[in-house]
Amino acid sequence: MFKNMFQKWKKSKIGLTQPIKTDTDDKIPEGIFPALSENIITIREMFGESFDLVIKETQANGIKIAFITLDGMYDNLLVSNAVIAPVLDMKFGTTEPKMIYDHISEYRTSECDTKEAITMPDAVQYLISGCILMFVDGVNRCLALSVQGYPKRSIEQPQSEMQEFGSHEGFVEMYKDNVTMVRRRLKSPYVRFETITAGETSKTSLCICYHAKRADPVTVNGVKSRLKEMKIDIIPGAGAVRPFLEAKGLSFFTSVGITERPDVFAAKLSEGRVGIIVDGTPYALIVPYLFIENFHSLDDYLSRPFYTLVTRTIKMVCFLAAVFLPGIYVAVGTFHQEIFPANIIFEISISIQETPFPLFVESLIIHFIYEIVREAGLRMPASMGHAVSIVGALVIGDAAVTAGLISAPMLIVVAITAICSAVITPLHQPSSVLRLLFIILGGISGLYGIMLGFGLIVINLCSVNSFGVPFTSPLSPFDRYANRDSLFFAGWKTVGKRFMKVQNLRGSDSDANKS
Amino acid sequence: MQTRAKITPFQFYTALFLGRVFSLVAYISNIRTRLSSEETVYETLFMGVLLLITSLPTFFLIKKDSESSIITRASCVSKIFSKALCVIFLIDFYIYAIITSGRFEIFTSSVMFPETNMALVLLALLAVAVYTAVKGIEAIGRSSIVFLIPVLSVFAFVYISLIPDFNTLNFTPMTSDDFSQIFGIGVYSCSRTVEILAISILLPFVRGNKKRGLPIWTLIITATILITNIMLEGVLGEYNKTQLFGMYTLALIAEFEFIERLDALISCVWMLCAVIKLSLTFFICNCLFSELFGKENKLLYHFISAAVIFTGTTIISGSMLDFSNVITSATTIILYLFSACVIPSAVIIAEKVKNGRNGNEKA
Amino acid sequence: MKKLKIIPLALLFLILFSSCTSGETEIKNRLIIEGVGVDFDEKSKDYEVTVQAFATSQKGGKDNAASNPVVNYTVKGKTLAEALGDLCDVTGKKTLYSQNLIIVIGNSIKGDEIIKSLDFFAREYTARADVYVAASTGKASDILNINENSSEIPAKIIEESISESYKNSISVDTELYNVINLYLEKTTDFTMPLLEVTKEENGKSSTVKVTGTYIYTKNGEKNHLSADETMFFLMLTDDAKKGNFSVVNDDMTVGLDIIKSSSKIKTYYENGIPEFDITIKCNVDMVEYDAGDFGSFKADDVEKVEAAAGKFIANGVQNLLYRQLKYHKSDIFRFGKRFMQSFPKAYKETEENWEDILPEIKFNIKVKTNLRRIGQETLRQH
Repeated sequence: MFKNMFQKWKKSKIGLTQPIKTDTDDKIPEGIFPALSENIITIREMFGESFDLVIKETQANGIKIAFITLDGMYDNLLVSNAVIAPVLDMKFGTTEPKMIYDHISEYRTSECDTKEAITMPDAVQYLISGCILMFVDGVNRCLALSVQGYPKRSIEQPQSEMQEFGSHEGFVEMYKDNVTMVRRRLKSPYVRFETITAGETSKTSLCICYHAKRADPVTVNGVKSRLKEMKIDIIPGAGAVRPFLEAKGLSFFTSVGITERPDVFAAKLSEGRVGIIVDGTPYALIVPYLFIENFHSLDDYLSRPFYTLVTRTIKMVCFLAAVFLPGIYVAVGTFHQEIFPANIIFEISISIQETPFPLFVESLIIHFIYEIVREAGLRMPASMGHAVSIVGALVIGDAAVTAGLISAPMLIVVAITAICSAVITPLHQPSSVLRLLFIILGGISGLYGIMLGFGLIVINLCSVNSFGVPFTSPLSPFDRYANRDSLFFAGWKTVGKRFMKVQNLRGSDSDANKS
Repeated sequence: MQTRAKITPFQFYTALFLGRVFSLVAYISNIRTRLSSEETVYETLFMGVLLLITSLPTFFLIKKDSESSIITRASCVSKIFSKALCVIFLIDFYIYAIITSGRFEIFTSSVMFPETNMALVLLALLAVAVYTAVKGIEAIGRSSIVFLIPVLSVFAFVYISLIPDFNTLNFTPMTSDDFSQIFGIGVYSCSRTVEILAISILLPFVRGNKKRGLPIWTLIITATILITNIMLEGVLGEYNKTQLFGMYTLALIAEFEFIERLDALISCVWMLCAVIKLSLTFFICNCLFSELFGKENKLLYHFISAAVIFTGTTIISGSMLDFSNVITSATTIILYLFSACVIPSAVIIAEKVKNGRNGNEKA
Repeated sequence: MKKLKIIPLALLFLILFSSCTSGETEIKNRLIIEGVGVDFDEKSKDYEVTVQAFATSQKGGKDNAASNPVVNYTVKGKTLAEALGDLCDVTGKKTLYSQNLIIVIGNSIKGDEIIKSLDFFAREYTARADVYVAASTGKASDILNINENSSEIPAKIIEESISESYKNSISVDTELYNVINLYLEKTTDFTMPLLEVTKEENGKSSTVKVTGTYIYTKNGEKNHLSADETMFFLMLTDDAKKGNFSVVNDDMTVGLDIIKSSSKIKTYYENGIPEFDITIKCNVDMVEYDAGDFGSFKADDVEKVEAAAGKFIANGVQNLLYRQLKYHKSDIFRFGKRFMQSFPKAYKETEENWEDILPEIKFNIKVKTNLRRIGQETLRQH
């Protein structure tokens, strides 16, 4: 009965959602007209009143030629020297349009990359991508000349992955520049960079990168098919592509890695992973991705192994503290006071005696306030930073405790949690949500609820496979060799002796197929 | 049974080990069985030997064919035989799961939440176990490895911190030559190892050398129980015999510097063992149901199992008297011997008889 | 559809579990017990229980004269459970025994009544099994109600005194589970630290002192050990950590600190009588030497001191054994257990009349003392 009701409700809602109207639904003529004027009219109609559409009609060798481009997308100097001047200076013996077109294509525009568009949609695609289109009257094709010169950001230090000893280069928005950075680090002819287009309106270029001799072909084909099957209108960033590559099933943790660093990206490719560089965003995606990699950073591989052990341990402890500490504090304070050492329990009980709210509610309130302050700090303009710091520190920190609204131990717990969650930035988002869930579990059912929740999270993690590789590798299933670089790093002299490919980890599909 | 997902023998036996650890911690001391310390040690060693002997039929099953489950092999002999085995094993696992949940409920209502409605706690536990079973054997196997770390750490921490309190004077020797109690209790302890039954059913889900793991696993179980009993006797002495859950009391006393009252910690990691044990049970019941009724309604089978176990547990754990009257040592001993020894032996014999007949026919 | 199914299940989960939290288990709604004193009122035949709890309603604990302010409650009942149940009515809070540090048994509770009064704590699920159990020479309530400089002494300080006294071999430290363990051994009498309220000379203030060891005897007889006897007791049972004693001879007075002490007891059985060979090894440091000028201690005197110390310890142990076994017939040394471990069958025959065998038991005591250090002063060769 409920199923029927639900289906009826669903049908009534169908009318409210419109299917995505794509450019291809509109009636764009398929072919290019031989008559130049018709092509110009067609393109003008398509772009309407857009001010940046530039159409330059001219003559060369007695034949009408039109150059169509979008203002701001081209390099002025390159267009003048490599396109306009050679074409206009052309002296050719015939006025046959086709021969003139071929001559220009072969000899006159050799200084820039030249493509040919046979259909109008292809021509428009090249135009939007920054090429200059050259139509010759009487030819039903056009040349697309790569003269892109739009403003772009120079290569800078990555903002989200700060490293002590790594390079200071980070990915930029132009995917070709990113590919170049990776090529410089992997000088092998087997490293492939294949592009596909995704996004019905944005037509974003996605560059699939992999090492042909090391990556698992099943993974490569899997990535390609998933990206091709993506139903999405625009791709605002790499995060929009991520869900299509993630493992099946609900999970708080993503099974797709993301990085802003070309050195990290190159290292992952060399391990047999597949990378996706998304045009327009300085982040690249990596699959398969393991949970333990959230605690790894480039500095681990550039520092001494003993120090790497310390930093990784600190990160893991910080993650556990960020997720569990508030919930455990609430659980112990509400149900299991016997766990508090005798010296501490008196101080805590004095502090929380006069607070009006139960520990559980107090914890939720203060953590929500922390999330608000954190979000405000992330989004606000720099000029307002001081005001928010004052409000956050003085009002919340000091005044609330003095007024007896919150207890000092709770504030200490929140502070520790906040600092710990900043240590493991890849897990920042899931830890924020999990923290609140564990506070609820701790407040409702104590340590036992937290333990059941912990069990659920672990089981969920253990059931995830990232492109056939267990998400909890190499810890579970335990892989002795791969564990040289998991909880600790055994050093390059040890790790370098035996090369590891991610698809060869124990428990992965390819490992299963071997046995 | 056709399977795609597989786990390694290490994961498999770790899951079984955690299941047995659950029974160890939740062992309810019966004050009527006043064994001396020496008798306890003998009883544990005897239990270990008995475990090895009663696992022999399963060992021979694995040796002959380590990829097929006992149900598949029974179905090769006769369809009716395999269906009957499915029903018998279902009843077995339900009874053991009810005992497991019953012990859990008594434990939580005695030392964790005496004032809270235990049905809710049990419901939550069963829900988590169902979720784990739905995720499959890979999730169970991999999470066993993860859970093994805190379980071993807490146990090691408790034992090491209690070493200063260990006193050999607390040990009591045997004062008579009567070994009957030792044998009786040894058999009962052995019969609580339901994991032996699980091995023969889950064989197709394990990839690797399972033969080697079985005797190693029984030795590790015996060693763990022996160390636990020695610690219980050496630290608590006669006090152990007055406590409902000796292991819990041990954790209560353990302390190291400012870290005290490890009982909450041990209860928490013990719950993880309960999750693994129950989820394995659900998974096995699901396999058995699939053999009987087909694979279409897997989720329904899980819910049926959960409902049966919840109802059974609620009925028998209403009071301590109900529990001890229903779950007698005779119940578990008969179940165990029949399911772990008689049935695998019957399958082996039936196979040999059938192969002999087929050989004669060909000749 | 799958995602939609999860939402009502999660809500159901939360709603069902919300009954688990009623607020009364929150730390601010709990009466955190630090110490318990048990007395018996002969007139009304009621248990009188004195409970020391955190006074969390006092603000600014640190600004008070005492850094750990407590408040004492006295309740009565036919049983401990009844009395302590009334505590909830008096305070309006649920009691929490997990932080309880000490249980003091008053002198009005004798014999098996001691065990009966401890049953509540052995059964209560929040109580600690390793809580100290001590006996009082007077009323237990006097111990917990002690005043010092107008602020009340919390049970914590008493607990620390017991712990320090044990380390200095003045008294034993007995935990609840050990009390029950030893009680259940048929032949053993258990021991507890003995607390006494002593008035200062000015008569204005009183303190709690650990004066020795109380012995529980199954026949209800009064029996205790002084601080010196406790030292010998701990040395004999291989439980001595530190301690100090003085050896006074005709020609010297030496103060010695025990650094390490160990003992081994071998059990024999001859002619129906158990026999024990006791070997005590003791490392001592010299802390005072009153037999001459500064720096006058000679190498030849080392042996004299060791011999004198050994004789002192041996005499002390012998006297202790005589008094306890022959006079009081009290086996506080667990000789019965040792005999049981070595000769279980013989023990089984004698366990019912072990008390009568106690005075017949034979001992051979050997003490080996080693003078390890003599302090900062020099050791003359001759």
